[in-house]
Amino acid sequence: MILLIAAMKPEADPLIRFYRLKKDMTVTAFPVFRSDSVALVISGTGKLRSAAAAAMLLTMYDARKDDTLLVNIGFAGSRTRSAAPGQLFIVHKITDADTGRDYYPDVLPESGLPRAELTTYPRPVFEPPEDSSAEDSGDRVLLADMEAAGIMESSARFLETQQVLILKVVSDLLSPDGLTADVLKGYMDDRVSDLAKIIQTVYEENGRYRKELFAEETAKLLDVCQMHKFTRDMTRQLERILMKVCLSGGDAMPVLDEARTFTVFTKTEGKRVFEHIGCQLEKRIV
Amino acid sequence: MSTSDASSKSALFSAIYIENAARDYPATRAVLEKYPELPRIPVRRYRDVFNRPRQNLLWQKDHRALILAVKEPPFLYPGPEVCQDFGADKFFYTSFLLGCPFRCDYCYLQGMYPSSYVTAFVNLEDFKGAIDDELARAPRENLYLALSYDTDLIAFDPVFPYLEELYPFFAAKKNLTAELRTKSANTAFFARYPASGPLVAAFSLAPDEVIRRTEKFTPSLDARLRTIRAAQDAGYSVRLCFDPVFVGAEYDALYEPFFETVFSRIDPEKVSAVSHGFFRMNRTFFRRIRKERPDSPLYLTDFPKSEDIVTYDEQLAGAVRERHLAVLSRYIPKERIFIV
Repeated sequence: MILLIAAMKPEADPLIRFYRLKKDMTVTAFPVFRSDSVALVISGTGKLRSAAAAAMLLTMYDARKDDTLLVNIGFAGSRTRSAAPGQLFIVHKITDADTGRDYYPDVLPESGLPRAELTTYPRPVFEPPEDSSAEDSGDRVLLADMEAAGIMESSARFLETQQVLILKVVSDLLSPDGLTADVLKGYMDDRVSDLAKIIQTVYEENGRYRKELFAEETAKLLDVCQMHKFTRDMTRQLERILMKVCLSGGDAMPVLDEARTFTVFTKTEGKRVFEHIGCQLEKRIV
Repeated sequence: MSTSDASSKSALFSAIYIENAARDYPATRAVLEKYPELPRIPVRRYRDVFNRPRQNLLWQKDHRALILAVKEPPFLYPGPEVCQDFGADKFFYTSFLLGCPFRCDYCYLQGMYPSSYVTAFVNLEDFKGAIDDELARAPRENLYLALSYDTDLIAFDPVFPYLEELYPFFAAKKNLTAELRTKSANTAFFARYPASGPLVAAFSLAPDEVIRRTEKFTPSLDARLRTIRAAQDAGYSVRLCFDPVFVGAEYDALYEPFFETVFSRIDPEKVSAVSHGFFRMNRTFFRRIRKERPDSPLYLTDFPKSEDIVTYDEQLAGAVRERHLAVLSRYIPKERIFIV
């Protein structure tokens, strides 16, 4: 599942249109829009709201499953003159200006996007603030926003470090003169297909590193174990043999199907069935 | 990108994290000059990146980043009992790097470190000072120092040549044996740093089938044997490490022909020692890796239940060891074969 967080409507609208998302009327805490594979929440501005919205999405969509990608898409002010308004960056370091804490999402090199560092401030910033690291920033691009640190803090409790993506479109150089809703909408409209491409690339690449292997077989085995009231240790032993079968390219399904037809009344019968299943699975290792 | 060694091509890393304290060290400057195009990410403390919770080690192995950092004491660690000290009075190891350029299935680092990004320590003078102190503490005792204990310095040499600094430092040392252990095929390394003073080269070898199954991105047996010959030609005293050895129906037939192959290609007279050890791992690390590596059959193996170390049943291992030693002792005198 791809979970998107945008702070404001102008940031969210192009994505809602692109992914053809429909408003989920059952959720009232935040506006949520969704399809079968993508959900988007409009969090409002500020890191507390973004953290709450991220936690809500991650809980709603059972983010402990390892096919989740959480993406923050939004505008950021730039403290670096070379970063032009409308330019899209992938963020590899986020600093919470309040706490001084740094967050480092693992960034996919194949994204091909220029990278930036980002500081999350508690209020809008209109001029480059004092920052000791700015003087030796070299070619680094330094951005400012109000949400990303909240999303990082929240996601760290649910996701692995490569499952969070912070994408920022430069809105201004910390001097929002002449910045209108139409201008912002234009920046986001221009970038939406790039954004979708990056998100898809990262989502697919992360898919190669999922730890839930052979989900169908595992689910069936767990069902069998529950049915016959096997202990945790017995279940683990069978899971290991099942993995060996699957990794070797063997077909475990006939054994699991047969196992569901057994009836167990006593502990001794349960043990016998357990040994029978283990033995039959071992035979399926190719 | 060559998968045999840490190539000098920047594609090897996707970014460099630089600890603030490491910024002004010559080693840091050298690495940054070598990779000017890579994104640089300043970090307050290297642990802020290295120790993050919920890192995916396999993802990181395939999308590598480098961390440059300053090591705090201690710089030398006592060698563990499960490792061979080759009869030295004192056995220490040191870690110039955290993590390894290679990706071996059986590597305990997967259970020990929360990250697989390689951390390179840049304060070499501090390491040298610690080695001097240890030598001065008991000048008559022989110190065995493993330089590549849980990494591969020779494979990392194209990224940063630690030996360029250490080579002249070690040259004059007495009562020291400094072991460089490697799986690398970096023949140029041995041409550049011919045998000198206390340096010995140790090569981890395995049958090609074991390399293919468990030592991803490492050089083939053939490439390693060529490198051993290059090291011997450069005057090195060479040690061969048959470690870890695996036991099981799919492995048992591989080792004896493999030993024959090795000694048909390498002059046994120029081999100073051989070590032989079965796969073994700290139980906590093993459990941790089992969760992280559901794709690896090694961690699905049912090893005998024991307190701390996961390894093969002693009776089973003993029988295999006997067969292996019978072959090895045809080439190397028994007193030069060390069992781990």
